Amino acid sequence: MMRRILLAGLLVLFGLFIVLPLAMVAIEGLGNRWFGSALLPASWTLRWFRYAAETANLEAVLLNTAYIALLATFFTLVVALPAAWALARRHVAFKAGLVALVLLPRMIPEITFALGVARIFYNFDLTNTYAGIALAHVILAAPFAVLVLIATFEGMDQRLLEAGRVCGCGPLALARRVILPLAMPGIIAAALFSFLASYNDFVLTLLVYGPDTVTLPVQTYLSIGNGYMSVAGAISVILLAPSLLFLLLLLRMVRPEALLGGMKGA
Amino acid sequence: MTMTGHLEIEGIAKSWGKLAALSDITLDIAAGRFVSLLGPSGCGKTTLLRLVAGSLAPDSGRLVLDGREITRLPTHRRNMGMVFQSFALFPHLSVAENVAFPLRVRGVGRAERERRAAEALAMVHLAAYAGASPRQLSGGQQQRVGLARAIVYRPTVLLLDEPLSNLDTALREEMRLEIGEVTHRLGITAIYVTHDQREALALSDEIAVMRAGRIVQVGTPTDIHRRPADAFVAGFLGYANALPLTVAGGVGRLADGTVVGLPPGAPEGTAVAFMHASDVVLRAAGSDAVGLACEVTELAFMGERMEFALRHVSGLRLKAAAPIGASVFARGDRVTAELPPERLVVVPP
Amino acid sequence: MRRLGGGGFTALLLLPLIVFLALAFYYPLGFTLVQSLTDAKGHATLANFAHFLGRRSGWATLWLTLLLSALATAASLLLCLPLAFLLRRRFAGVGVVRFLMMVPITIPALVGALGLLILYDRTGWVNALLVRGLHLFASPIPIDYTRGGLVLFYVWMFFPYGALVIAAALGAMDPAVEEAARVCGAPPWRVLVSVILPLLRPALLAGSVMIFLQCFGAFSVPLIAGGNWQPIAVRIYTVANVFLDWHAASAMAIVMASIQCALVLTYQVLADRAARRRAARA
Repeated sequence: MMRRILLAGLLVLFGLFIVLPLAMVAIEGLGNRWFGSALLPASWTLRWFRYAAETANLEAVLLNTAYIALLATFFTLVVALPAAWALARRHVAFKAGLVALVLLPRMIPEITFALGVARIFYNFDLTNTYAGIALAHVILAAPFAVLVLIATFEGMDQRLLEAGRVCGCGPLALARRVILPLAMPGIIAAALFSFLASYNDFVLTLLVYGPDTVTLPVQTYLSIGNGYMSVAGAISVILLAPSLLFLLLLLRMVRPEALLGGMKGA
Repeated sequence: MTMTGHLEIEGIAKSWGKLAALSDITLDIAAGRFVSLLGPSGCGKTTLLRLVAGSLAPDSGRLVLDGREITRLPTHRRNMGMVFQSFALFPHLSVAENVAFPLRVRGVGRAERERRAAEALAMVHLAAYAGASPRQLSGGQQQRVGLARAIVYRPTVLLLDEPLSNLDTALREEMRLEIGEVTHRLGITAIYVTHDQREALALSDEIAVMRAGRIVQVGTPTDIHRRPADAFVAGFLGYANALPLTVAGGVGRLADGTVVGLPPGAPEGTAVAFMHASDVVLRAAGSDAVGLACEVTELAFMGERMEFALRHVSGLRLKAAAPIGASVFARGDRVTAELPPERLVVVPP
Repeated sequence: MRRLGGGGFTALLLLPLIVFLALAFYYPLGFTLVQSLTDAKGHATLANFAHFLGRRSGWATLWLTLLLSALATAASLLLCLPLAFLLRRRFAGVGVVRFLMMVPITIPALVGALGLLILYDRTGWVNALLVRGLHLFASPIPIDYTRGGLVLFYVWMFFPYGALVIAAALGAMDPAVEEAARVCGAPPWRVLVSVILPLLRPALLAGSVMIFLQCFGAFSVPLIAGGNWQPIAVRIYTVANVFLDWHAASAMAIVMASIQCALVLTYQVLADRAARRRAARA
């Protein structure tokens, strides 16, 4: 019994350790006149959202973020799907070396290549464009998507493909009727992750964004910098909801251990 | 040397939430006896073993070892040995280090440790593999290491949790003999969990048959085999024929009224009569034999014997077995199946 | 699987990814390297590196980064180990714990950093508890903008990487092995020291490296909660974006990437050697 109480106590402490910072963000974003050492704001309000909508053009920022994340997801799948299939199921020379080259972007700190990306994108007029920022996010998303998809394709039972062929499927029918349904959980996980990687990204975006392409994380940073903590809090509340929803979905889709090397950096 | 290892299990109960895993288990295991817990998966036999080991705590009841209550004693102070279904060898230690591990935690000196580990390994014929890693051994060899590790410190009770079920069929027989040999040589109390009636019959001094968290019958292998307590035990012991009967005044009748001769003392009312296939005697129809008129529907050559599938006129199906050359029947032949009453086991359904 | 044109088709499948990474990642990386080795006029020089590594402030930045990372890694492990053991048990809230554990690495780093900043502020709840609740201190203690605070924030943000690895390894361990150790007579501490920890060693090493690398590259947290304590990632950003000295920033980025690559390679060599030793034990 003592052990149970101790265990429950530790669990509560752990829960508070994780949750309290997020609760603070929510209180900051929803509170009115929260000053000094008061534990809670004097009253609750939605005015920071309105304020963010007016001063920070929240609607455009939201649309930017969603649009860029969708584009990044699409681009990631376009480059990662065929490559993962080749790496998983076809003979590839220097496969280990190639995989290492694909994974390098996740091995070195984001800031180290973000500098070069910013300069080059600037030279090619890619900064401050949706496609440009989305492409920058693909650098982060592609290695993990390739990893997940390689695992998915390698785990596919060869006999099922043979069975498909025996049943009369040509290459296209096989892809559509056998491979795609079998690989769907992996593809969805890769897509969700890519979306999240783009949606959450701060470092690369900070170096390549422009006035027309401010995303939610960047706007949060700008609001903090301007001293509008409550506005930053309000935007953070908007940022949090989809992340937590994605986490729920991801945990249903794959075992957490499979997400290693993924998620975001910095 | 006085015999130790007298284990009394008194009214043990354990449930997982609302699901009763064990209810009111009482079993007295005399020192030096080899006792099997036999039952289908989910019957609670492994749970009972883990309670004895101390890996689980009972909801109620007591465990008494040599007069001393051990119900709440932590596992590591019970001085028991255990052989696991999954072998459970320490992968980071060599074979000899695995066997010496129990001695090391008991603070036995290095020289003594090595001597006794070598002795235990020799007992399971693995002296040559002392320096090997468990990974390099076959399944049968790994389980022998497991056995050596479990006996090296002369535990009071040896617990064996389905030790043969992860082995190939060919190795099982060999390992079973090894277990019997080692336990008899040491005269140690052993509790052996299995779902295989042949293992239990071959090894045990005593068998406790379990079903749905209860012990349904305890007895010597001969007892259990000859006089199963009920239809479940009989079915579990591999009786091939089960005849539903109505018994009135000592006379048994099948559903269609056919009379079946019964041994004395059969229970009245509805009952089931069990008989091994090899006890059924087949005669050509038309001879003056008394028995069930059947047709041979299928036959199989099984090496040293033939097996026959029969259908009685009432639709009841039977199985019979006969040594090669004893009787020659073909598919479709009409036969009379004699059921010697003394070989019939009649139990309540 | 050599069908449909064999090698040519394989190359075609790989082409989009290779072209993309070459243009969007390796070209910028190479560009950064060139920048680090040239001056504003485009002449080759080592001055950028000399400027960074030849001064105390440069070394101080590196030292701060490594110190914070090492302390945060050690502290994270202290959280990861019990958590991994907890996740192995079956209890009602295990799904919730699993979810909570993943939260810090799922949400935008900046949001987490903002929350930590508010919670551990001089007027925040933690100080309110320490001063007004428990009366441990007479006045609020500074946590934000201190090195200790940064270590705490790093732990919050990066421990899941280690917890995942360690929990996975512990979950894959046969529970019968521990049971065997207990039955053999080993008390709980002995089971931990002689059986579980040796078996967990590869996972502990891998988890530590994961956490360390994340701390080493940390940007969002020190950017808004570090104050004057600027680890190298923040320093690079400041030099590039505030001082607009891209050559100097590039040199620092190359130093940072090199250190990280060296760490990863060292880990690989160590892990491979340990794996070979385990395999070769005869």
